[in-house]
Amino acid sequence: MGDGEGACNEAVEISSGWGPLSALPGDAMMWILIISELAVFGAALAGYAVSRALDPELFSASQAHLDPFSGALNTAILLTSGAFAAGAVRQARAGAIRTTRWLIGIAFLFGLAFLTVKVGEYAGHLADGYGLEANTFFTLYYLVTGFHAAHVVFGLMILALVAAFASEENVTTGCAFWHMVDLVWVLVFAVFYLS
Amino acid sequence: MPHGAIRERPLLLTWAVLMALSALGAFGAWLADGGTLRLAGLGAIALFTLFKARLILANYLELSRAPGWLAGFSVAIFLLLAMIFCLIALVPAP
Repeated sequence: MGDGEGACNEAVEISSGWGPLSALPGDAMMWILIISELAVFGAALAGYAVSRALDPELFSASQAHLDPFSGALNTAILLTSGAFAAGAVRQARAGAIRTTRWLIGIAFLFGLAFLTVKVGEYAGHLADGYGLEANTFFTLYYLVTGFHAAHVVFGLMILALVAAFASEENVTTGCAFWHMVDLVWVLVFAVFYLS
Repeated sequence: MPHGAIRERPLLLTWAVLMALSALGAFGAWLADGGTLRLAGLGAIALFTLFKARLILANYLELSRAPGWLAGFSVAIFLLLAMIFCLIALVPAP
């Protein structure tokens, strides 16, 4: 009993070693990554807004070439993927590893669907002659959405990894990265497609 | 960690609200495309985006269990959206 209590106290000490970050679910290092990524995307979106304010005609004309339907479809796809990933975390917590793997698998497939739509969008823009160097709008569009798509690819690798090693902590941590990708897309979609 | 400090929403409800907010955001974009209601449309897009971000943070990322962090992230995203959408709104549409 005494030993168990000692081990428990030690565990509490270790988990509270991150200070305020200890209150966050999952691995604190993942949250440091999430905060860093949000800061990077936030700066990129703020830079886009400043560039747009400097040349509203160009940005308005270029933005008209984006397909809001594709953007909205990808939003629905990622939000749905996020729901399955969140479900996987809860199942992992309940110890239902088989269900956890299924849910991560479905989240993974939705992630692939997102990339398929995005590649289709890029192909359409390139076919219309709007490449990376077409103008400032398209340079920023490809940089921000391309950087986000790279995170989707990385997120899919993490999902595959945590499906294979589906402990509660792994699933919570891996899915936190996936939700960050989801959150960033919600902001990117609003700024590039809707505004 | 104050478990359940803010009640967790069922995931299906969270997903449905996120979809509804996305549809409302599209309506805001339609308003922002016009002349007289442009500012209202931009405000609606920013507001619905903030709500969506908060739902993802609270229910998908489970920050409802860490209310202080949820508030911190929400304020940061609010400030970012306010800066971006104020800049867009201040420059007249061509």
